[in-house]
Amino acid sequence: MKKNKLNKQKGQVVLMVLLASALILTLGLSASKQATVETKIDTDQELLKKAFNTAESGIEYYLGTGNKSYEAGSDGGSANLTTKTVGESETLSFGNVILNGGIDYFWLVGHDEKDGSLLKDGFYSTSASSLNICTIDGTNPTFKISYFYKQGDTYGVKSAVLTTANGCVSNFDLKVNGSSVDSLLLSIMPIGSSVKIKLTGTAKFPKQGEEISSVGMVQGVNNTVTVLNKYTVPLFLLEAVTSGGDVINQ
Amino acid sequence: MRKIRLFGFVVVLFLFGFVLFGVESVSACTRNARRCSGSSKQVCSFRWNMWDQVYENYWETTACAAGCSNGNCICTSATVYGSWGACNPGTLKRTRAVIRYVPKGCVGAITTQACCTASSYPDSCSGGVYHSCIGGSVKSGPCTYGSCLGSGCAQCAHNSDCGSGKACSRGKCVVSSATSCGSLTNSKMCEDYGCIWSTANQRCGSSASTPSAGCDSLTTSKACEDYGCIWSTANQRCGSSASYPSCASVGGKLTSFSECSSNGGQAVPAMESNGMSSSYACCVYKTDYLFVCDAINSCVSLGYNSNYTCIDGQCVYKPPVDENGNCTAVNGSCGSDGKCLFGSIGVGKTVVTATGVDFHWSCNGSCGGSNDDSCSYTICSNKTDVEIIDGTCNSNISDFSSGGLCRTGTLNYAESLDKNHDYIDDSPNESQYVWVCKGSANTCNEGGGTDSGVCTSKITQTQWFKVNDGSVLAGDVINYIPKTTCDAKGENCDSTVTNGGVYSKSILSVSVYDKSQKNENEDFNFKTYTYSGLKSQYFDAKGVGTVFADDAIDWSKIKETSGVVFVDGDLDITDNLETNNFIMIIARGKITIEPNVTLINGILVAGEVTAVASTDESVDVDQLIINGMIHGISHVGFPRKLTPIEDNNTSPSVVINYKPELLFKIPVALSKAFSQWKIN
Repeated sequence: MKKNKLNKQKGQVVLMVLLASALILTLGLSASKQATVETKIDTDQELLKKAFNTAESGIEYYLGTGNKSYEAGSDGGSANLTTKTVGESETLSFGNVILNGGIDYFWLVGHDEKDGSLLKDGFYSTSASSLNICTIDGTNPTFKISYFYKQGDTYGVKSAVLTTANGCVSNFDLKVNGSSVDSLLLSIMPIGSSVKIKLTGTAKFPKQGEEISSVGMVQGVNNTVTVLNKYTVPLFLLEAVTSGGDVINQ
Repeated sequence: MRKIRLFGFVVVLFLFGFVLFGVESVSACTRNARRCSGSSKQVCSFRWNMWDQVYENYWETTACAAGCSNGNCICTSATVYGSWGACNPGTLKRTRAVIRYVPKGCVGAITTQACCTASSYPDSCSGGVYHSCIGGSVKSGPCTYGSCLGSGCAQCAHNSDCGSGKACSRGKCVVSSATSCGSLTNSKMCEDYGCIWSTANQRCGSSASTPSAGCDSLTTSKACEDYGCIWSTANQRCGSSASYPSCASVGGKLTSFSECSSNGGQAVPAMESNGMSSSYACCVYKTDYLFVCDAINSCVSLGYNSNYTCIDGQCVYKPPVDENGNCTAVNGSCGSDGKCLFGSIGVGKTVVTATGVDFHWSCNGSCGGSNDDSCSYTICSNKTDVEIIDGTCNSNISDFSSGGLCRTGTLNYAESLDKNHDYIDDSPNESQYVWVCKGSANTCNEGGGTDSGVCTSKITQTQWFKVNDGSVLAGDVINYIPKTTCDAKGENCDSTVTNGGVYSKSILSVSVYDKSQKNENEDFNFKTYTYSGLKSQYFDAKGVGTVFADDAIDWSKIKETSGVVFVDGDLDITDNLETNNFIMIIARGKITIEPNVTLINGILVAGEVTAVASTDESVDVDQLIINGMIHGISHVGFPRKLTPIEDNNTSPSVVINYKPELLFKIPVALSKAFSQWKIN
């Protein structure tokens, strides 16, 4: 009798083992599935990162060599680059948002392609006496505008704070006190909101730089990096006194 | 049962391991942050914000596999190198682009030359580092004097590096030759050769050289000394031989040209605007040529009586009046216009004050007119509602609080006002600038001044600054334009900024009299530029600029440098920066401008820029003029205070004149840069 009871108990143990094994197997398979998916994601993400880095390298390679085709090596993929002139049209926009209190600027004279120096002719003001400063979304913020110019051998700046109407400051006068001057630079600071800005005029604006677009490709995965290589100046040269902190008389 | 427990333990272990395996350890970072400042390497992963997953492309170089022979790689078949660039005899670079993970921390420079000879790898120098082929390998090291000269290192940085008889010129030791001074065209070369640079004339000369127009043409002490001329402090002029004495000490009391000539002076000396003759050998008294006077040579010492006062270097007939404004002391009488009559000079004589403004001192007497405004009273003070203001009887005395004039003469003041003190607004630093001048003409009880017949302010306003033709952009702007800058009606006051605006992120603390265009917005985004960022962008990447190391910061050398100047520490500006060349000084730490500095032509960039005040108020501190721009990352301060302290009532202690031409004089190599990134 006792032996029969033991035999019955042995059957229960087997059953428990089977149940436990099933549970463990289920958990194990689930974990394995999860790991496989994550591994796949990791791989894709890694390829994306490699493609991004390859695209970046392609840009540096282009800037160093002028070559628009870049081969990173057997495992690093490749990059194809395209460039586009920014400017030389009657509408000018960099497509970026200018933050409230931030500054962006637009050249009103061309640059020497070789050394980046300002040209002695080809001033925008030679072809047009005014221009329009507009928001791309049609909103009506206030702009602080500084217009840098040269009159004879004298440099000057004409400043104004103007509120847009119908999305634009229309017919911003490029003359100074009624006299024609050589236009150099227009800096714009939105006050109170962040906006995208475009300039429109009746003549072509000078070249501002070039947009370089690089598509990095690694094992069938693409990633694109685009940069604006612009003739630039430090923004603190556009104002008399600037500080991230305080300016005080004490 | 033991097996079941063991099995259970295994299961628990398995589950624990699974959970543990699923937890990922991350090293978080800000998107696109760069671990090494300014480096294009080790960018934080743009998508995962982790440092650990960062890798980069780089050009990997290997040593010549089979060694070198006469400077050339001994190459096997190109296929041996797989994806390496083809290795041909004579090719010194064998590189390939690979992607590699980079460790945390900065990666050092990658060697690009593996095998070289002196002829195949010529010496070169960049950024003050010298490169040369030694023993088949490229060796690099810093130049002794920190800068390059052609393909090699500079021989010197200063004259003292060259030894006796030689001078350092553009990094090269040359024989110093004073005779060639005139051919040197910039200040650095000039001083390197031991010559003297004339800032005023923008030319180089020896100590004996003189300007073509002669010493007399030089108008500043520095220009005078640059040419080896002699500056006369007493006369504030430049001469060619000895310091010219004042007229008084060379017979300035001579009364005719002939008398002058007979005394060894020039017969007809040309007269200058300051009343001195250009020869200075003799001074002549003539109606149009008044004697020269100054603090040393008073009018009395020049022979004038006490009715003459020295104004603008000339002895001017300015008789005193008594405390009641009567003209009895000057042998004259009070005219119908309320001005003293000076019998010996002329009726209604108007005298020019030190400020160039006509003034007339009050007197009590025969006022004309038929009503209060035209002063019909013999003695204005006899009528209780009439006062004399600037020599004119005036009944309009009702509003002292909005005045701004020091009112002379007897007056009725409102009883509600404090009779003996200035009236102070609730706002600090904004004195009302009203004195109660009770009972005594030309005497201000509070001001205490009796100068020039008008009361002189003794109010001590706090210091303030002013910006012309540009704007102020900052997190917080504090400046107090005093009411003492306003006109008599309390209007047309001065402003922090003219031809520009004040743009502040937080609390805008400027005085109510400040007429600046003000804009306050807490969401303003002002971009700041750091020393390391600018140095990386300009000097490291493009080789533009001059760097003064922390242990070699010397203002006397920095001020003679032009272009972009990097100062790897704090900078103390101890004297004027009068250069006409472009200079942009970028300091890692703080820039301090000492009280004796009065002129800076250039751009200052630093963590903090401060024009400090003098600790000794007995020393005169003049106005500081900065022709350029200032960028302080965290702070720009102007505690500088004018002394005498009353000067702060009407003049700013610091004036910044924005110069747009500097914007277009930056080195062209800096004009092209990335300004915007897009990720698709």
